[in-house]
Amino acid sequence: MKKPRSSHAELEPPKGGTPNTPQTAIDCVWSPAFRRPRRHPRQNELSRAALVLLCCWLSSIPSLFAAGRKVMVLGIDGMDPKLLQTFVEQGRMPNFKALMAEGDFRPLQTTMPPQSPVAWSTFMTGMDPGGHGIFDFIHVDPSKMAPYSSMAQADPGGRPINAGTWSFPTSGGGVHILRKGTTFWQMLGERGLRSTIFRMPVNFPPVKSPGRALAGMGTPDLIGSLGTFSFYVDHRSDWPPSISGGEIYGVTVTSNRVSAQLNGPPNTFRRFPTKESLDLREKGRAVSIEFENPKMTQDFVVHLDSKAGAAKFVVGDQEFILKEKEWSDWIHVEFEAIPHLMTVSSAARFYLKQLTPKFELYVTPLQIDPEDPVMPISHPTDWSKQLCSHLGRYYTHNIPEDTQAFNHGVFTAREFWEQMIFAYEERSRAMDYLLKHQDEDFLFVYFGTVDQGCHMLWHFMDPRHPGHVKDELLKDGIAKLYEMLDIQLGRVRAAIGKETTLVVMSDHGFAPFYWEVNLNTWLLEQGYITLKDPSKQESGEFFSNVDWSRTKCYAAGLNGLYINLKGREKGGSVTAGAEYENLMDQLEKALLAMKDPRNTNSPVSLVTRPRQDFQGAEKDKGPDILVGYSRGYRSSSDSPLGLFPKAAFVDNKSPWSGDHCIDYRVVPGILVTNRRITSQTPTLADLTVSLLHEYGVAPTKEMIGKQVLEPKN
Amino acid sequence: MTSAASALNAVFNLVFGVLYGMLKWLGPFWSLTGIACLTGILMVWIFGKVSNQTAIERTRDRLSAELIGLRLFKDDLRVFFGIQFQVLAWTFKYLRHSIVPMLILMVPTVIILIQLNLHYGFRPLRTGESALVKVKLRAASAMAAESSLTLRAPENLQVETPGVHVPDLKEICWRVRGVRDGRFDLIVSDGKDSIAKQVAVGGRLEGVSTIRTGESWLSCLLNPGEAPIPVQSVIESIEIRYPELDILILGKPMNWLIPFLILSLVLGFAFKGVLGVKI
Repeated sequence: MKKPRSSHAELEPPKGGTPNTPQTAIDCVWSPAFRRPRRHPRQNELSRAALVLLCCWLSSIPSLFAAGRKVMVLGIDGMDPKLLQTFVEQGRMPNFKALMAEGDFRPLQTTMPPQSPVAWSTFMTGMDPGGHGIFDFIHVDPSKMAPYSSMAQADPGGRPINAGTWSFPTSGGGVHILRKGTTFWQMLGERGLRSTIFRMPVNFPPVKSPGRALAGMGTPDLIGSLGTFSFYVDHRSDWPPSISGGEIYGVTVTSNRVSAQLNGPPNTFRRFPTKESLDLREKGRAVSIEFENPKMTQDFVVHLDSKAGAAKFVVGDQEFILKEKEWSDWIHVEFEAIPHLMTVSSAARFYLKQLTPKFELYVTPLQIDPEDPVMPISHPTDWSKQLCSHLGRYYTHNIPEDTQAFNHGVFTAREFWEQMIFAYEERSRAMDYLLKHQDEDFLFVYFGTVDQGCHMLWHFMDPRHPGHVKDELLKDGIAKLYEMLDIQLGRVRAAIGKETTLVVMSDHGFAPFYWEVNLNTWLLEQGYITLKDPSKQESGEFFSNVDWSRTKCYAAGLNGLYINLKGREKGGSVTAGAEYENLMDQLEKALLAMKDPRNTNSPVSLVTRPRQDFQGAEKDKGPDILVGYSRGYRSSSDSPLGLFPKAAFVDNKSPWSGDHCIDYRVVPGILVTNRRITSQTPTLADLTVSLLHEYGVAPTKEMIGKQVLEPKN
Repeated sequence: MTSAASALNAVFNLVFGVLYGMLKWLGPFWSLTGIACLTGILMVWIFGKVSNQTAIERTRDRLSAELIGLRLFKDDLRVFFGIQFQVLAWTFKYLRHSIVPMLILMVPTVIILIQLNLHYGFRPLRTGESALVKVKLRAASAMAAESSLTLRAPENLQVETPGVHVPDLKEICWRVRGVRDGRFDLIVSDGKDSIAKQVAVGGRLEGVSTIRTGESWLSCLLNPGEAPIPVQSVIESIEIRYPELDILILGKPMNWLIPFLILSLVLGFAFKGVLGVKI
């Protein structure tokens, strides 16, 4: 099934719903309606002044109407309507039950693909991916055939002035958000309404608008990744050479002492010749020396006392003790860029996983320090610092819950649970603080715990899962997370006034992830991809073994499929026009007819063509096809990275056991509110329009939603 | 020497305790401003008393005259350079008149800085907050008897970890957590002797002694918060790693030393006319 376009056609802006359509002062002054015959200059000045005053007054009308109007949105990533209903019926979620009784509850139609960056971008902007330009976690630059994060991009600093091993950039670098469109709270801000936006995904760096915002998912860690933990072990050979989302370092225990380093970001003030260019020079090759920036490091020492079952840590000028299986508080870490002059501030937590017989130490991704942020993680810039002074340091990077550490066996399930609960409690404290100090017109608070918990704990709950594990505590883990969010809702309901519109929503729901689909392998089997060396099918990085001249399409990202188009892809082989269209038709049929030979299931239930099915200026910039997998299936983790595992269909036995990056119709989110919902099938884009409508603000013509909340009496 | 240092500490602790007690209700910044003001005035007054004011005044007048000369004779290079030499010579004379009073001023300045660090350097633990207790032994050989070295804490303080022995550094460390507000004694015992170390939990602007030491008269002077550890003890020092106290200035946290130095200099200069002191 394709995404119904008719549903978009219904989404007209509300007629007569916004009697005070704002008109700016500039619009009024330059409107032909205000043109008058030539008058005395003094008269003209007076008239202009009066007009400006009138227009200022007119532009303030929406604010006046909205005076006292407050809306709070509790955004719970990944809360599923069926699970919610089940837990409510079991009596585990009294606050949700009460809110449903007071107002309404509906599944909330999510986006295609139902990935968090895509769905939250739609919620923010009221546009589909064709409008906001976020189609996946990962986008591909077809001219280089290189993957990149879809959410934000770093801008390099100015041309450096080099002096030996020193390098001084003439201007600082920056970072910019890749999402297009105006967020609804910016639109509220244009009407003088203030918002507090706490950890909204895909809002790094936070957009500027009246009020305050802290960036959420998509915020990098200090080294610029979306979260890279460090794991120090004295038995390096027991671990794989490299893992995604983390670095494993071998250390030596000498006289009960471990000396190691925290690896920070590259130091752009220093440069050293690369080993390669020095080697070439040594061999007599006439090459110009190439330089690279060394990483900034911070030494630390661990003094082990196995008899006590604890160790003393010395990190910079800080000292602390950890017992085995114990977490530290946030430790301030400083990296020296220019000795005695410039430092880069960060924070990390240490977890002493094992002292003996093997030494194992986990360190969280290095955070951008909220107390002294090196990148703009909040708006205004010092808000992260203000929060820090009230709450202490906190996780600032992308997604705090370290699913990768669990996935790669660095954490056990219980350790992951403990770390996840710590992150949840930080959010909980932040929400209490925000509720206590809420003086803005609009408040949004985001919780990601349910999403991350459902990803990693599904196999404990579901005996049908290929990776099912019996664990008396964790089999109820997802239910416990829902209960915890119910407690949060209880706090919110107690804190807000009766007049406040309360919306609890999620960006998507959840489904089990039983079977992995290696889509690139399937495309290879079907003859759409040709490898340069078929004997090396399972080796190589990001399509490095692909013969592009004989390849028609490839899969990248969790749902994306790209045609190898001439003029767009680096080694394009398919001509635009009839060949492209025929191939698209052929692929659509083949994908929908795909069968898992092990059980005759159909792994794909939906094929979407963004160029046809989406609206907006960005619709041509995404994949050519979005693949919607059936319940139980999802893309493997290897295929999105341009790899070709041997089998196209594999049982998923990893802890990442629940998912939502499938057919969007299978995984709607939730909409629970203290207002009546006028539509049986509200969408994320509808919610955006409805929130604007609360303040009497009309949607823009690019927005595809409609008003679905019944006006309050 | 150590006992003399202890006696001096007792006197200074009393004086500053009274002064601090009178001002601490103002909060960290304003109480520090008050002390900086008094310090500035005191320093200028002492400078006036210990310096040759007549000589300083004469030297300054002469320097001013030479500087005027520089402006008047800037077209005559020979005279100009002659005056330059005079300026240099009189500047050295000025420094000569100032150096002795400055050296004398260093004594009260150091005492004041030590006392202020006691009150503004660190803050007490908050309830629920943890800190490292570090016991340093005099000799590595004492580590052999490590099993008998124990830490006892009152109910208001929770000892969260066993003692972590670090033979390289001759240290044994514990982690303690404040349970209730107050000032308590931690007792470190080697089986024969017991040494107490004060711990502060809670309270607004309480001065805290970070370390109890007894190795020398100098360390005793530098750490005046508690009586020195007897020399016969195997324990060299007991330290508690309290969090630093930040003074908020325009919302920015700052170490106390920066505003103190600026304020005492500015306020001292502001009062020199009133005190009739030439600097």
